Amino acid sequence: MNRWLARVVSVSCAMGMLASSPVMAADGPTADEIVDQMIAQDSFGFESGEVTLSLEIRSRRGDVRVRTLRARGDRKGDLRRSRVDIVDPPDVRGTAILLLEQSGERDDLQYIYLPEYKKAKRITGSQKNGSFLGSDLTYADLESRDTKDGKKTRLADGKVAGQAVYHVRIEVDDVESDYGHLDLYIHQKYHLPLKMEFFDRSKELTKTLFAKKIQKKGGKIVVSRMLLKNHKRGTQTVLQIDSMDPKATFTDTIFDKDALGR
Amino acid sequence: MQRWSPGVFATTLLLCSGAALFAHADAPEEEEALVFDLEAEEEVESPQFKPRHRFRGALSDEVAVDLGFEGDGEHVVRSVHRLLLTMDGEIRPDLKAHVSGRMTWFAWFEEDGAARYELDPELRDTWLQWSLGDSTSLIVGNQTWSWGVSDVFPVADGINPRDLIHGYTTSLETPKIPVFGVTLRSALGDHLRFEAVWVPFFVPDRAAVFAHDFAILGEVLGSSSAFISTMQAQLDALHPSIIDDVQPLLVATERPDEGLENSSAGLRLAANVRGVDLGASYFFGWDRIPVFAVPSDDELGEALPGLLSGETAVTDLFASSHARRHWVGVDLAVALGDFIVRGESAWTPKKTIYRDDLSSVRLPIVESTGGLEYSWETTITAMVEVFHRHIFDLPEGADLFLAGQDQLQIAAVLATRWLEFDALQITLAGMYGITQGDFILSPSVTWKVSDTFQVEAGGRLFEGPVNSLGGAFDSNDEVFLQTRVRF
Repeated sequence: MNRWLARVVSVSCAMGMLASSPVMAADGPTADEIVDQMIAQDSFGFESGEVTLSLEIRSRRGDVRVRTLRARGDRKGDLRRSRVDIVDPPDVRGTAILLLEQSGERDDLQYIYLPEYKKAKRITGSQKNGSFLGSDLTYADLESRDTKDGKKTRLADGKVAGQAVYHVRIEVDDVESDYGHLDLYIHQKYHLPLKMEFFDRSKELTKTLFAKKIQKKGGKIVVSRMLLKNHKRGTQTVLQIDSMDPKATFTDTIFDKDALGR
Repeated sequence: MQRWSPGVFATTLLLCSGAALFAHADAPEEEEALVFDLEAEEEVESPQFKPRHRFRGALSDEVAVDLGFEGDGEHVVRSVHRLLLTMDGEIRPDLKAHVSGRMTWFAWFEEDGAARYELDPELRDTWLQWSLGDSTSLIVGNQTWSWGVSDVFPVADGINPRDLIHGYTTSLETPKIPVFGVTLRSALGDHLRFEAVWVPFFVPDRAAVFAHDFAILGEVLGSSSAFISTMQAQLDALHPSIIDDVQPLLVATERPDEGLENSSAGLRLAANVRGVDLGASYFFGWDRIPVFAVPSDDELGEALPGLLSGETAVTDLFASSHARRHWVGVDLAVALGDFIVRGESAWTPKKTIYRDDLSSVRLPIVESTGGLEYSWETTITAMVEVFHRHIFDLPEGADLFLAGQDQLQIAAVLATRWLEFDALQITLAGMYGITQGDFILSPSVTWKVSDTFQVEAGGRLFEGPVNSLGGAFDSNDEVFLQTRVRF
């Protein structure tokens, strides 16, 4: 799963350039190079290994609910595969989600395993745009296709929280996506996204992701705490890495949809 | 009898989402605040394996009240109290354990206040799993297998026996009974996976033959056998405290013993080819529908003097046993835009079916199901599934019990979710027998009060002609209230 923030990033990344007029960027890396560096940096530590995350979800009325997830991921060849097991809350404990990246133009595969039903079911289409466990993330956010495939444009550099950042816009070309484009603000030294803005197809800002804490974990510099604000719903989700082991390795069997729940 | 267990909701139920609109919450954190903490690296999780375990449980209580008090021993109030406890453990990097048990306490009440109780402790899925290399695993213990893709009519998913004793339910909980077995699962190359299953011992379906509102014989309105009617009258006279002990004996007066020659085995191949999930299965096991040998009315008349004098035993006239069964199944599921299209089909050269006098015949059968599922985010889930069964070589003019030579049924589920965290769910589930014109309808409303507690209220309505599923249980219309605590 590890990809899930990755995708938030990536989505962002992937959605291309968009509507606002391109600004002449300063000399230096191109938009593609900046995003590639960011992906290589594995900003959220989800690309490989194991991580335990908590999501603190605040509703419009101020109710707070907490979800805890265990995410494991690696690469099989060039393709990423991730598995998320829901640890808490009790009503969805034991549920598992499998994401298998596909090559070429094919949609990534997503399955959800339900412990009472003892069966994995496919997730697709607009279902992927549904809220993930009530948070401000969607199932589509767990994928990273947009990051890879979107058209990227570098805009004028700027500052976020006093830090010098590159500004990259990604235009989304996935017709099933809720997003039209993403704006990424990427730390110039650490190649971490400090801020991401998600715009819908009518160019309205729908979500903003803020990096809140940057730490060294497992020898890597990662964003360990994030705040995702949903401007349309009036909700927000705080994502916190509770623990991680970027060196963890896994057998193929845990990424087998028929073995979910085992 | 088809068990109605629309897992379709599953996805929906679990995709709880908040749906608040157009209002901004106060941010508990400043948006621009950013902390760099790069001086001292946090202690990293040790790369060494750490055993871990995960526990979960659920306590549910349901009370159902019949909508019509027909008398004659009918249960007009039913309550079910169930505790499920499960533990998952990762003992070593290559060894996992799963332990699960369930305790259910049933109570049934008749109109005159007469009550019957039953305590049902069960060992559920309890197994050990070893990883043998990178892509192979071995699982030994009580298991539940899920082959095929259908939610309502799982025609290619017949390894586990099923608990049919309580009839129709829309519960997400699987009706399968876990049984002891060995599973070897591995990959053949990058795309093909196989699963070999060995089930050494026979376990029958759990079904009520009489003395339950959903009993096969209790409402065998289609049966025209004088023997069955006579036997039922005798069995109804048993003391309630032993009724459920006698039930299994009637399902099979002869049963495959625990010798290994009576074991079952099967193989499944599965792959994803260009986004299409494909599966093919073969299983050699037991037909869990027992073969009944029932005397005709004439034979019963001839045997009556012997029965009265004690020279003839009832079992000389009536026998029920199980026969071997092969089946081959294929299944596929594919995503087409916002829809999931799925289908599965199974062929068996001999499967037990009943005539309307409950005598058995074993004939070739093909069963198929096709389904379409649509979801709009987490707000709406809709599913339709169509079932078809064709019986080959059926003697002309033969009347079947609750079935026809070509059986067509359609099931549908519509679930909508509302409020923050999808706290309110409204569901309408139904099944219509196209061949026989019967239907089953189950509307319900679920309120998730919190992440640990929910309340559900709903009803189950049955309607149809005499020799049909809906007609057989026509007197069992009920409303129910259920609470569930998860921990």
